[in-house]
Amino acid sequence: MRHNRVAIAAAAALAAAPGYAQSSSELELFAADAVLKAETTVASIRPATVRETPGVVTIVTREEIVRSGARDLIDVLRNVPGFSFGVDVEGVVDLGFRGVWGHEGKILLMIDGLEMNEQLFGTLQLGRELPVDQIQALEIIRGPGSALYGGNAELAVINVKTRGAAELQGAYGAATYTQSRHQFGERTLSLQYGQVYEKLGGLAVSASGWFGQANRSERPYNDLFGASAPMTNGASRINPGYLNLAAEWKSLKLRFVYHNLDTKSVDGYGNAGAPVQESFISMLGSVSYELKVNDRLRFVPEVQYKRQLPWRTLDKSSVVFYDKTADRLTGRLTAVYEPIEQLSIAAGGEIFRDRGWLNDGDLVGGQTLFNGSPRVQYGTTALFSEATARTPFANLVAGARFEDHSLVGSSFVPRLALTKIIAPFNFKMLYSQAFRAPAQENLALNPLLTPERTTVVEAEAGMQIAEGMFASVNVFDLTIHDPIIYSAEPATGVQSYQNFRRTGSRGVEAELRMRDRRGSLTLAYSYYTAGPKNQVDLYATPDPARVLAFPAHKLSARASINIGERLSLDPSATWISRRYAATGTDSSGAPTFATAGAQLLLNVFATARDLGFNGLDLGLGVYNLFDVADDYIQPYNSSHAPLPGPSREFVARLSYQIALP
Amino acid sequence: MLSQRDVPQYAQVAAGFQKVNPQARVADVSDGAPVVRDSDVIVAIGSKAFELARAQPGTAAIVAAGVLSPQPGGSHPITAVPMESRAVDALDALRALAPNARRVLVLHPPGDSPMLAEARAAARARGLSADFRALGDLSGLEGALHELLQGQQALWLLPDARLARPEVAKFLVATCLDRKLPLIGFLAGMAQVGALVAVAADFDAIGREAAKLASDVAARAPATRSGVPFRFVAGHVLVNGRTAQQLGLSGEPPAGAEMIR
Repeated sequence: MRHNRVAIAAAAALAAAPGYAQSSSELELFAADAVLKAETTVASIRPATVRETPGVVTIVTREEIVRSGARDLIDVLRNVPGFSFGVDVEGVVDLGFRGVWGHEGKILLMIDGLEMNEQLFGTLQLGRELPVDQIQALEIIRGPGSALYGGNAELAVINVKTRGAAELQGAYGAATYTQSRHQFGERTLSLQYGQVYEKLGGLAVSASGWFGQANRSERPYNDLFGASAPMTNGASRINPGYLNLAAEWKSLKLRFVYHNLDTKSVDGYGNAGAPVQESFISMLGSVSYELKVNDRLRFVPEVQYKRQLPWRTLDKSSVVFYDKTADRLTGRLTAVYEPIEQLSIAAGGEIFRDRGWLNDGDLVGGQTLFNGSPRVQYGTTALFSEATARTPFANLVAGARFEDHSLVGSSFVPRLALTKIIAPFNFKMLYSQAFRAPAQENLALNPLLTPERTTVVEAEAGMQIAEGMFASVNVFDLTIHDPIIYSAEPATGVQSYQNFRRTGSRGVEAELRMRDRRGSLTLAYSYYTAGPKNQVDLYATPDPARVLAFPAHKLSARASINIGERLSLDPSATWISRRYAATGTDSSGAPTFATAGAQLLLNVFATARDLGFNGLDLGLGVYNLFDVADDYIQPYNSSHAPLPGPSREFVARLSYQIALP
Repeated sequence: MLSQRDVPQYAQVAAGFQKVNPQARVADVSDGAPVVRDSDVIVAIGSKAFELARAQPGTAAIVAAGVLSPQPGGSHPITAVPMESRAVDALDALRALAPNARRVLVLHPPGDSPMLAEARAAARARGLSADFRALGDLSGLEGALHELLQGQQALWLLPDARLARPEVAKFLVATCLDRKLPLIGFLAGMAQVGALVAVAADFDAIGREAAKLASDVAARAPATRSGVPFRFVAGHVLVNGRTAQQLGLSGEPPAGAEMIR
């Protein structure tokens, strides 16, 4: 009987119930309602709770982000199992996951469902990249999502859900200033407005903006050849510009996102040099409409357009000169059919056209043709499906995606998930295949590339230990066949891509979340071993179980302590084990390595709310309290020295939220 | 008007109030208690504002809006548009979806309250055989519920934070599904996790009605402001279509109800 499955948890909850005041406040109802509604669609088309969703999912809430004083996604993701960071080239920092470098198209980042990965290489650029105080929730699939999201969702998916009209119901502004010893780390302004107009049929509109200046580091970049370049005085700047406009009326949704990181870097392809200006510009838009035929059948047509100018360097004297545009036009139709309560079937098709072109015909620096042509165009057709069946045995989710690229051919990735709640426990068994389609520039440098293919097997067990206390442990086995690997020659800037034979990892991750009226505590741990999986020599280290840049162990803790009604204190700490960095070659040409010791980053942030005015909040804190040399190591051996990250920074954020009638 | 601006639901109540009375201004509880005269009417949105208003000296009338089970008492004449929704909405939804359900178990917090009286009256008016049970200590509920549900054709929950706790709510949902009984809850989230019907508070409507009630109270002479009855407004009705299907119910959902699948 289904009753028996929930009885254990209910018994615990009921037994604890006398502790609740019998004359309760409606605020408790609001909180309970929010928990009951907490479902996600990040890992499935059919909404499901985190415990039932067919993926290993972490959700980070706005409250957690704002209270922690996080400055960017790096600060947030440090506390999520599996994520690490590394440097590519030209000052760009990106993600590794489970011991695999995810920089080029292996990890999908979305803002409100719009893909942020740039289309020429598939990369992301992290560090002061988004206004994290505007995030409503960060939904993270710690595992593949290709069956749903396609060729950039090979290792993980990060969906940034920003605050919309319903959450804002007014205006919000925040000024953030951070200061390290020698220079400011960030000075930015974040503004939002959102309102639902009932008189206009429930029209919801929101507008969010963020702009300012930031710096990557104040420490110098010392390359592997004995040269050094300071990163102060704007030489490592990251100046963000961001606009997010949304409107929703009945079933029609429109969104436009503009994003620009205007940067300077001194590391080029590895050699320290004079600062080079570079920008990463994205413009994304979408229109969708949900057409409900009846209670059982609905269609969602959607059109998305994305235009990007990534890695844009206009200095023709620089070895990294580059000026190209890429765009993608996507048409998608999803149908969801739920013939009976226990069964949901979703299927759809997607067509997208990718184009790339040179904005400048001078073939100097990094500016090259696309296989001999100034323009390139590819077409892709995809079909996807997902079926969810709720059976007495377990919930079963089966899905697949077939994608056919006009040059590299087809990929087919199935997924299968079994989820089961036997309260207070929950269990998941997940099998997924995923892929990464080569991006335009990958193919320009090597038209013989084939899609890399990944198989991931995961199992998760969770337990609701008590009200507000939840623990989960998951294990994974990840194998990438034919990985597309990048390397660059520092002196000449000559770049190449090749399909290698295999890489991957296996490991374990765990999370413990506790929350009560006194505050909250989140503990996270992750471990990987590359063991026999990795056969990419550019990733290898003297220890076969480890790859470059990524620590085998990561342990993080974040607490939020309520001190009275208006004050909270949020300490957080991340400890990582030692890492390997490549340092060059010895006289015989064999690679040489150094190790970066274990590292503890400690942060403290305090927030005072309603200072004089209701809605006026002030946050003050320190990041990297011990002033640890937090470096980003290159995860592939391509003669790039570790790139310095932020030093100890004092952080101040003043925000004001005003509700409008 | 006294409120807590950082609670979105209260902001909706205030906005609803200002639709009827655009001149009304909102003071926040963090600013402390406003100075009022005995002839004034204080509109308190939310329990914190209500407690603050009630703690003030004098005999100014208080209209509580969006407060869960506001308790009269003290020196102030008190009336309210509570957070609890009109009881007839729940029963009308039940009648529309499950017309044969005539015997209903009603679980409610201990003690008398205007909401309980409203619920009793609504059940009588609809000709239902309603068994009202006050829930004291919940620790015995798991065992007792099966006994209580014997012979019943539906379970109706009156607002109670203890029953809203996710594990408890899901237990009640699962129990009712096992027994093929319609469950009527009081939070939108309850319908989302499988209750057949949930009648959730309509905060805008609460605000608008509170403005009318405050105006009516203000029109009375101060000496005659005691005993003004509470007013319950229509709630937002949500119907879980999957549950209806699972229970084999073929009745049409009431007009205006939101279907969840």
